[in-house]
Amino acid sequence: MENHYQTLLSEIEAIQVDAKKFAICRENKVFYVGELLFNLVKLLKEGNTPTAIQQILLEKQNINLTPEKIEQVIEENIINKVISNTSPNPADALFSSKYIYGKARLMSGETLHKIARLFQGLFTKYIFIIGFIVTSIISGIFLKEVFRGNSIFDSSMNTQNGLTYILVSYGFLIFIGMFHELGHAAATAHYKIAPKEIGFGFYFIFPVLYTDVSKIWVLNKYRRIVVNLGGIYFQLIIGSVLWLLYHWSLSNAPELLGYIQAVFLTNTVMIIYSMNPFMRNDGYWIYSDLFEIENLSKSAFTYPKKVYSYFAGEHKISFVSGFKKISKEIPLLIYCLTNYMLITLLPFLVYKMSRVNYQKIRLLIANNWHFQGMSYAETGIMISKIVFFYVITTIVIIRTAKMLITTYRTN
Amino acid sequence: MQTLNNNTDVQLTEGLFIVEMEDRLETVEFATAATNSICRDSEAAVAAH
Repeated sequence: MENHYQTLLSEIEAIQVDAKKFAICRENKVFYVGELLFNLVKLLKEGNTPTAIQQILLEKQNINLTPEKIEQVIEENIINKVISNTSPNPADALFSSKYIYGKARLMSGETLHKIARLFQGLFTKYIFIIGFIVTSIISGIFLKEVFRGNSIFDSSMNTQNGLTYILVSYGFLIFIGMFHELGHAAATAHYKIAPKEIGFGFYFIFPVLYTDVSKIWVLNKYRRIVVNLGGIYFQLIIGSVLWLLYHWSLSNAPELLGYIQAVFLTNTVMIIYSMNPFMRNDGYWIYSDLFEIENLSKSAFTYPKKVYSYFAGEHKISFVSGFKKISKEIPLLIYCLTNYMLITLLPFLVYKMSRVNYQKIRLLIANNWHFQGMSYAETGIMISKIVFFYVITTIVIIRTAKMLITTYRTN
Repeated sequence: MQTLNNNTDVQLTEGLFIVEMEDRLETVEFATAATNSICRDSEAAVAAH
């Protein structure tokens, strides 16, 4: 009898991630599956019929699955969820793929792969370890040299030093951002996975550059962490090049020093921002991979519900969402508590800022729409900042409320 | 139709799950970082007046 599953399953891959983790993927979408399901898919792909698989499983693993049951399992899990990819849970849609919107492709996967391959040697084990440490030290030294005794935010990049500094910084931002993404892509290419495009989009309301590296879920956790660090690694390389340039300019072109400092500052601030684990920046993926908490954001949002179900004895906890090793539970608990704490602090922040802003606006009106000691341009920046703050806050509140409502209504 | 034995029940529970992994878009946010430092600087400049 011909096995029609072989054709049906030809577009999906079954990959073993590590000793205990198994993945099924279709194009760029990855699913973690149990070992038995993984073996079923592999055996079907190899051309075995459900009747033959029943015998194999019985002999090798002492599991008795009827051919009907095998067909049902494949239909329910693989055909419906992987091949048709119809996610019936709206919470999944919210957490899994919709967090970047207004996407526009800046570089195709093909071009990116070609460029990424040129840099993949930087991710050879020892080159990466030594390179990361050395560039971190150089960037640290440069930071100390440039901002002696000051905070890194006290740069010479301000409106008084001229708009050119700001324009140079913003111009380099695009370059740095692209290079950062290239870092992720090169690491992905090093592990023989073709990186997808580099694009531009919005996360909340923040403009971001992104690289789609969804396929790296099939790599083990250390390799995934290397891909996560790829962007910062490339930015540290930029930092080190700037340091060399700075020292060359000291005696050769002192007029460039201010620009180099401005670019270095931007680069460093971007690295620090990237480490934030509460937005889907590099820090988020590093935390998720390091502690092996898959779908971290969703897991953290639904954690209180899980704890409630557990203690209320509702027996709603399945083996998947159930409690696992303590080494996994504690980092998730810490993340969840901090996440909810930040959400709780938000109203206080809005209240505090509103009081300050109220005073500022009163002063502004009293001074005939002009802050004392400020130019009109500076007043404009100040007003834009106030507006910007409320726009961001409103969006964050709406998005958070939406996530909470969806999470608690479904599942 | 054959029935499942106990061993099978346990293995089924352990071995047949499927979880969709979230999309991994490695992002770098490039405007707020610079805006933030520029705004802080302009504030510092104003304070220095």
